[in-house]
Amino acid sequence: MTQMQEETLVEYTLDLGRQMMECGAEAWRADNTIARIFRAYGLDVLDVHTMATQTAATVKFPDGRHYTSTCMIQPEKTGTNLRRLEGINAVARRLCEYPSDIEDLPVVMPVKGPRWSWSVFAGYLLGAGAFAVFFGGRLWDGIVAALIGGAIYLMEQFRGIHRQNRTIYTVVACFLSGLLARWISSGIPGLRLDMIVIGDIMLFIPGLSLVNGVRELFYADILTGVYRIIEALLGTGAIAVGYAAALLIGGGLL
Amino acid sequence: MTADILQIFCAGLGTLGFALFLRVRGAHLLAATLGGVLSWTLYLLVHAAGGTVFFSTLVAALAVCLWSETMARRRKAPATIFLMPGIVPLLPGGAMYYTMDSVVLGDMDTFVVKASETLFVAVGIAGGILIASEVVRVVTRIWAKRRRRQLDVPNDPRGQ
Repeated sequence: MTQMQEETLVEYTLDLGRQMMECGAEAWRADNTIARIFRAYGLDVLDVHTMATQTAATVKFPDGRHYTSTCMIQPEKTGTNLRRLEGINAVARRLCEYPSDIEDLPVVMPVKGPRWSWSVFAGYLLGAGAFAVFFGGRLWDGIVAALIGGAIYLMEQFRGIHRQNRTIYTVVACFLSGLLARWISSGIPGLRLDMIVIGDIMLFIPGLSLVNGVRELFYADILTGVYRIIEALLGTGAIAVGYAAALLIGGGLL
Repeated sequence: MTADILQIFCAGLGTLGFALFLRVRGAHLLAATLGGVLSWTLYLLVHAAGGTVFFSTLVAALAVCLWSETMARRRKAPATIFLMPGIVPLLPGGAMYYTMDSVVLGDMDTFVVKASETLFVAVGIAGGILIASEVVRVVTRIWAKRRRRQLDVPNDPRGQ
């Protein structure tokens, strides 16, 4: 490999790590993947470190040169896309088993903006509706929660287009969906506002941040763990502020 | 009994919804959904046997984490794909709503009860996942060491 090819390989691999983190992978998993690819190409891994906002690596090439590179992870681009995570994982696995030439490294295309997906839309409807009934609501509560879940997906598309701050988006989306729930439940007798709101709250609970944060803390990745747990707490606070405001203000308006 | 079956059915549907929402690939949807069904069925069983909310959540989270690790190895995919949808039925959506509602109404007694329930459930989920992750890590290391010994490959000094 020429020096340029070696540097291309390091940057390509760090970019894979960045994309894994942006899809919801744990930091240690990204570290592990990056180190395995380097070893598969015969590089000596001196250091690989991934945090919530950056991934960095120092490697030693066969001729004894050291090379360090970093790659930034943008928090506003970070989300949960398990299909994409699996795709990147499969690419990394293949590279470790059959290292390809640098010119033939598989291209993992970056996500360009939000895309409408009927299956994700169905997920919002089904998730909100089923959990409204799960927590004790009746069929109609589930149907209304599902419709509001659909509206939340539209708001999520809007956030994706305008790259809004996640916490502010959560407050606004919870407020609007809370108002909608209150408005519909006051117009149709027999509906339970609490069950409708609970079904929709489930769509906002930052489960991935909580689970990954705790696991990372446990694996002594303190910085990333604390970052994720604070992210989860901010998300939970944003849900509480948004829905509480809708219940208070909406109650006065309707 | 009927209420429990309905709840398990809804947990399955909700988990399927979340698997779609989290963009899990079609080939893994069934395994991801079964994780949610398993977690809630176990929660109900342990709770019915006298387990507290914390303990029932811990056992259910532990089981779904082990299920995810098993599925990840069988299907050669990251465990997160099966873990995230699987723990959704355990998330404290209801307790969170009533915590918030009691603050709005100024009912501090209910607030304390519901806030502690939310906390216990969150700690239970985290605890279950941590125990299961550690069990899997130890078993994987022992397995890898045994394979290395069988193949007569020296240990990696960095332990990776």
